Amino acid sequence: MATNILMPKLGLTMTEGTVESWYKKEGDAVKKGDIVCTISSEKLTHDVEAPEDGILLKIFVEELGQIPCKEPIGCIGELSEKVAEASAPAKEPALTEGQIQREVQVTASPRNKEVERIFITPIARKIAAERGIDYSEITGTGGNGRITRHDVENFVLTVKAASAATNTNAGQGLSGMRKVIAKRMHNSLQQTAQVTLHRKANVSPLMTFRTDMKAKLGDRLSGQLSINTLLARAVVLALKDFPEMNASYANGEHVVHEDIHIGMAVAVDEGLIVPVVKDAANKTLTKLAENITTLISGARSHTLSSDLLTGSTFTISNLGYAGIEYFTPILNTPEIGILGVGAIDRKLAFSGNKEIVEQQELPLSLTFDHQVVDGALAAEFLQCICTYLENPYLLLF
Amino acid sequence: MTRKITFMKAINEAMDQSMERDERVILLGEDVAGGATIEHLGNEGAWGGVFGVTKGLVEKYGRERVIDTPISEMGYMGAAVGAAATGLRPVPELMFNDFIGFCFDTLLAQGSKMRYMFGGKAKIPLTVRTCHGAGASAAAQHSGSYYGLLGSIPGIKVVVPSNPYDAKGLLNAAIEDDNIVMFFEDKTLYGIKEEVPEEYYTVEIGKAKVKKAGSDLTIVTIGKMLYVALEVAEKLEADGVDVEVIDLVTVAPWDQETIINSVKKTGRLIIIDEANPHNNTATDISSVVADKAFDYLDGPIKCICAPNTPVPFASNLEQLYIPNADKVFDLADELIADLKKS
Amino acid sequence: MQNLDMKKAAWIYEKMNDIRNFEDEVHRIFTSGEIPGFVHLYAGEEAVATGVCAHLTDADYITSTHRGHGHCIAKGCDLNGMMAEIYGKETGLCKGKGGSMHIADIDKGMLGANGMVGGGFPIAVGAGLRNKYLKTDNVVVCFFGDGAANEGTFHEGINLAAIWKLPVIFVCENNLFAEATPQSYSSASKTIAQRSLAYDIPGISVDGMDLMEVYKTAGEAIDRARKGEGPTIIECLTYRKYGHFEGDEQKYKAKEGPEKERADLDCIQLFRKEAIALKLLTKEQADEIEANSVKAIAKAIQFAQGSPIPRPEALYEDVYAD
Repeated sequence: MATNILMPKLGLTMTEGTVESWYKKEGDAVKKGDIVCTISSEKLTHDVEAPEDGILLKIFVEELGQIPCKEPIGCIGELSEKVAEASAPAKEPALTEGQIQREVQVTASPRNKEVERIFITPIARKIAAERGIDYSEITGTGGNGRITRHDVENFVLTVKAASAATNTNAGQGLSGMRKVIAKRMHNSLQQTAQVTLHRKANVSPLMTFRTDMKAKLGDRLSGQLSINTLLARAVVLALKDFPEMNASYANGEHVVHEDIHIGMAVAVDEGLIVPVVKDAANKTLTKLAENITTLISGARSHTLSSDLLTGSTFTISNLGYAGIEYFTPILNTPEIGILGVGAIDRKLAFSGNKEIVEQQELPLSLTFDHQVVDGALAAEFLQCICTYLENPYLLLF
Repeated sequence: MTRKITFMKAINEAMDQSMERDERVILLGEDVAGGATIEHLGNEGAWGGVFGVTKGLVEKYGRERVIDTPISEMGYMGAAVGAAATGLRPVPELMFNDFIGFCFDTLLAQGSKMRYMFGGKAKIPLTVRTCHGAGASAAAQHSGSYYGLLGSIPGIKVVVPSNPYDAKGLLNAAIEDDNIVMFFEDKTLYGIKEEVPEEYYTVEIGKAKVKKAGSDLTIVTIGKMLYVALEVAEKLEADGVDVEVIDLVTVAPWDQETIINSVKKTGRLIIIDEANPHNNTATDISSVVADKAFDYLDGPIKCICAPNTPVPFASNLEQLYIPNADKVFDLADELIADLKKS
Repeated sequence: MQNLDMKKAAWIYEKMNDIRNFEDEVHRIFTSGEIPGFVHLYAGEEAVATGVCAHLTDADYITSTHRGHGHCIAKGCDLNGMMAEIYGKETGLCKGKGGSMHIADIDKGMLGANGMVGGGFPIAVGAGLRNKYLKTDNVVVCFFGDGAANEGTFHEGINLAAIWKLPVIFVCENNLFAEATPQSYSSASKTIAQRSLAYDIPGISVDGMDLMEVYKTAGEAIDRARKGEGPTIIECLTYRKYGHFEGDEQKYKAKEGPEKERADLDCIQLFRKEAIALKLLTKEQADEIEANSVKAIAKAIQFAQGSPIPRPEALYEDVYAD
């Protein structure tokens, strides 16, 4: 019996995926674990492995084709096997007129494939490329439904006319991760009501605390006790205090999450990815430190499994390494909060007893979705984060 | 001075003027005069060619220069090659291009290669006149269009005029040319009349002619097919489609520049060629354009040709055989339909 | 017709030796792989080419066959240029683009060896038409083999030359074999000469090994042609020393009998003996000619070997006249 290769579901929010490229072609022999293709979701790209040894009998979804999660994108089996058996979804119960039903399904696959293939003339393709137009958005009026030069030119005119109002073509002209990011960022701004609050935390005690901890714990601290770790811990504790901030809102659905999964935005060559510290509420500072170190290095070396790249409930984005002070992070939708972290600044300040002391300040920027959270609550939440940072011993519990 | 004369008369006039200008020009072929050695005829031709294209020339230039040959295509065509290689400028007539098989060696293996084989020492100033084309109920062995066959041979030039003006100018140019030029006359065009200057002139070989400028669609034609394209263009004009019509004029070497520039402008190309559909001039143009103007194409290139059959005798079948406007609209619909503004 | 005097005899003897030495050397070198393609050697038939061409000037034309080296030399083509052409060199008579089968030199009236068997008939007729049309007294000699006599061009060409009374002499080199098939099998007529009856022109069969006979017969035919009396067929019975082409095992050749006797004749030695006897050549003169010929061919080989191969651009040149 041939085995289907399915479009994986990578995280709660993924409903469909795009086949970016096939590395094997029909008829190629594959071994279990071989990477057969790359898919992308809105959030990430992911290599799909062969589920078993055999021959890649059929590719159901061509490159750039989209299909819902868990649907077959190809199938593997022995040469003699019939593709149809594999491609017919097993969960579909045989109906009375099952015979007919089956035939319809068998022929449905290639037809879908045809629909997804875009016909475009050479000149139209060239113009679209020159102008950065994603021609998958264009309806072809030429023979065989192909997109002609006129179609592209008309499209340009229509888009120009409508561009001021709504640009529905985020990510066009881009590909891969860049396209995913473009769409996500664009959608985020389109679908939420983002407000950003800024304030600074006095982290002098935290820095002292960190130095002490490192000195005293030494080897027992396998991961580096970084600002990111301490921040993550502070955010986790604050989220426990303000569960309303550990929520998502999209497509008319508002969910307050019980578990806390912290996304840590990491810049990589291709763009930006957000590895996730799973179940961060139940991790000690030490575990958190270990976890974050592994995640970040994994992200930079592209070795993270896809489930570690999805499912965050709140995100932290740190631009402090570049000397940035405040910024307005964009929500990692459907999350409703993201914390932007700037560079620590040294300032002269009056201490409690009116003496001038050197104080280390950490600029923080909290973006929240005003659709579900009000400014007062968000402000209190940010203040709470600051409280934890300014009283570092609280981070231990 | 310009006056209206027929296609046939234009060709006759070109031979007349060329013979007058250059003593080395001789005509030879089957009954190009007719009635050789018949005493009571003397220098009067019995026929002047089977269609009468060479009429009057033997009377003017004598049987020494307008030479009736036996029915020996291989013999006289080869002799024409030999005479050209040794300094004359013969204009043999191959009565129908379908007879090419009889004399093919003399052109394929001898004449066309001589200059090259001899390291550039030979010149073969030879103009072979022949007629082609379906539409005269002449059936399979007298109606083919084989300019593409000849046009594929290095060392041979091939021209196919579509009108009296070009016919005269091209034939003069062909006779002036120091190479083998195959001059194809569509027998169904012999009667068309047009304004033609009386004086001697030439039309450049190797240059296509834009008969109607347009911006939406290019139609390239060979010979008589020009009129099909003009009909198509006229009908499409009503729909707001602006067609550019190009008469290829020279099949070998054909004018890549003019056609590619046109395709760069319009992005769409239809080629109408009365030859059989495979390995012909249309497919050659199509392949070169697909190669050199690929990024400008806004649709598939359509070759509208005769079917892959000999020319049938029955008139209704023969009319089906010849490409016409309906066929263009039918076969190239996907290239035309979306251009219509209405 | 010019009588065979001492000067002519020396010229003939020199050309005969040049042809024999040229072909013997090509035969030798060919096996070394220095010469590309294939070659058809003329050795053995020298009396025909020289005996006929002795009557021609540069203004007279000849058409040749794929066994054409002999005609080329007899028509006065440059030995160096010929050898370089066979070597495929830029200095060849045809810039290395023709090769053995297409050696030509129009300036010398040599309209080309011809790779198409029977290809020369109509071309010769055309050149004859030209000579007549321009009212010259130049002639054309169309050399052809017994194999070509069975091509359709033979009929069309000779018929045209006959009806138009063109100054063309059709010289058949009947070496008994068309490739590996005997003439006796290929031709319904016993001789090629007898076909002249069909065209109502003279047809003569001569011993092609006998230079004197070839010279005399050709001279008469050429004279008639110059006078406007039309074409002649001359059939010269001869024999090729080598095979059809180099590498031919020649299994078809007879080991004994009349054919073998013919094969053992050497037209050059026969002519030397006769010319000396008739005091047309001295022995010393003949020896000197032989020695010079060997040197000339050695020089030609050196020239060919030392010549450059054609420039790559030459591929595209000379397809059309500008």
